[in-house]
Amino acid sequence: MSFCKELCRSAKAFIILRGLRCVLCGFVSLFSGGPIAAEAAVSVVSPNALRDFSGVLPSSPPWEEDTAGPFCGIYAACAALRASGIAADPEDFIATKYVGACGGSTPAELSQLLADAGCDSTAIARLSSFDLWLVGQPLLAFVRRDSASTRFNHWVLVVPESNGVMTVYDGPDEAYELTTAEFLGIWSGLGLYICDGSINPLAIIWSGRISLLFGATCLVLLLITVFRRYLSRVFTTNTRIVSGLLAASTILCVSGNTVFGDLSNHSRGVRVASGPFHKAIRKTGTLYDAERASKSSSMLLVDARRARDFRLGSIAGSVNIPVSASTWAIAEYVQKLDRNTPIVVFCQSAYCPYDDEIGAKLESLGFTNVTVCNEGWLEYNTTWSSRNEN
Amino acid sequence: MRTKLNPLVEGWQDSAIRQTCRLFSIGIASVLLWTGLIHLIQPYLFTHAVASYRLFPTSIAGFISIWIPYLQVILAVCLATKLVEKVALYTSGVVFVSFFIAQLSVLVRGLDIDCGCFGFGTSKVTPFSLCLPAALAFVCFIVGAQLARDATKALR
Repeated sequence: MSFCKELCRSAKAFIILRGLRCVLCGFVSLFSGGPIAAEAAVSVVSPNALRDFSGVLPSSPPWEEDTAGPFCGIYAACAALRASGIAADPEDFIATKYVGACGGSTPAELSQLLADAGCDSTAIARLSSFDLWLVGQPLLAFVRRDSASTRFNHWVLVVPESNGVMTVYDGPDEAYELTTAEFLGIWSGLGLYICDGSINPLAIIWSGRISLLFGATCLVLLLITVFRRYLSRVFTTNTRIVSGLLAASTILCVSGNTVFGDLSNHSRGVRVASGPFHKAIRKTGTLYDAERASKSSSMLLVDARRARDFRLGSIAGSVNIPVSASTWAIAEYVQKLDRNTPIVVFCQSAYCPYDDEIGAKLESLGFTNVTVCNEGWLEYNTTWSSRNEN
Repeated sequence: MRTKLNPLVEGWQDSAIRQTCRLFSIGIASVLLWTGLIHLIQPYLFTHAVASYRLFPTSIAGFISIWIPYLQVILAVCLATKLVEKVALYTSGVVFVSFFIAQLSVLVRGLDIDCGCFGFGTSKVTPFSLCLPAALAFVCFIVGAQLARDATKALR
């Protein structure tokens, strides 16, 4: 009997709550126009709500909603022209002549653009950081868009600075700085130099390479001549010879990487270079559980959907890092965040790949505790509705 | 029944084999030096290529990719200067066999990735790209075995 009374009381409470919710939704939709707004009211809109992270994450994210897309080459070429003292507006060059395919410009198309703007240019492949420092001029570099891309598909203007960093001009966004290792991690080695009438960059590069090769060959031959007799006495067995080969290559590796790599930032370079191939990010439980866990811990919930979708509604307290945001923009956004912070990334549904992509980018920035939700916003809403109906 | 050759003909034959082995050694040294230098000047591009094979954890891929080019250059120098030539040939053979196995595993798993053999913009991993390390490994072991036989003959 008492059980029946309890049941009736719960049912009454549920009906009242549900009625209140309907009234509230209707009220909100009446004033804000339509079912989307009503849905948003259910899900508590929180654009960039920074519950526990307000002191750590900036209130305005550094990414643009629309990136340069296939016009990245035009933006980079115009930045190069401006660096050479020639006024150039990217909008003047948006033509199929310079962007032949939806993927973007080819080196030949960018050379044509620079020629039409009154500059000669040289496209060079297999460039190294040594060449960049040697020439010291801005380079139109062909790179991966960010550390999560597997393909080289993007043009940026890169300027080697005297303090060992690279300033990168990427589309219409603000310039940002990368360490040499990070830049080498995304660069294909292909680039275009503007020849502004002074010495041809190709001549500088080849004279530098020949000098370096000549010096290294002389040193190696000298060492072999001096130590040949000693070596033949020491390396009597095959095991000793193989150990000697391994040791010599290791010593050379360290010295060579100080010239062509960036030993002090080596691990960052490796992380960026191998970013798209990190092991699969751990999957966590439901978004409903993640939301509950985030209330009682310092967990950061990241919504990986596009900014306009996020504005229509998301988990209260979650922050938006849209899938279109580049790794460097994210790096700027989360620079003050502790790298051990537990982060749970989610997107539209269980089958949406954006969360994996943002998770990989966050891992490539050194975050050690990144997980991806098994479910997304869609499943969360279904769960939310069914739990309330029950 | 094996007929005994004229000593003059045998000497000429030995010399021809030695010269051919030397030519092969120089050829292998050139390939090792070329690929080694390409990978050496772009260390993180090679890291990207190695990681794309998805054979090792990224930390190990990072170590392998910055160290292998220098091993290739050292082996090339050894082969060119005839310093510990036999061991250098066998070690080169092992390096080429490992490249062959890596590419074979890519084909078996059906991954669509760049070979990364000669830097950016070179061919994809295909049965054709698989032939190069296989052929080079074969030549390394054949020439190494010939050198070992010559050394044994000289000792006698």
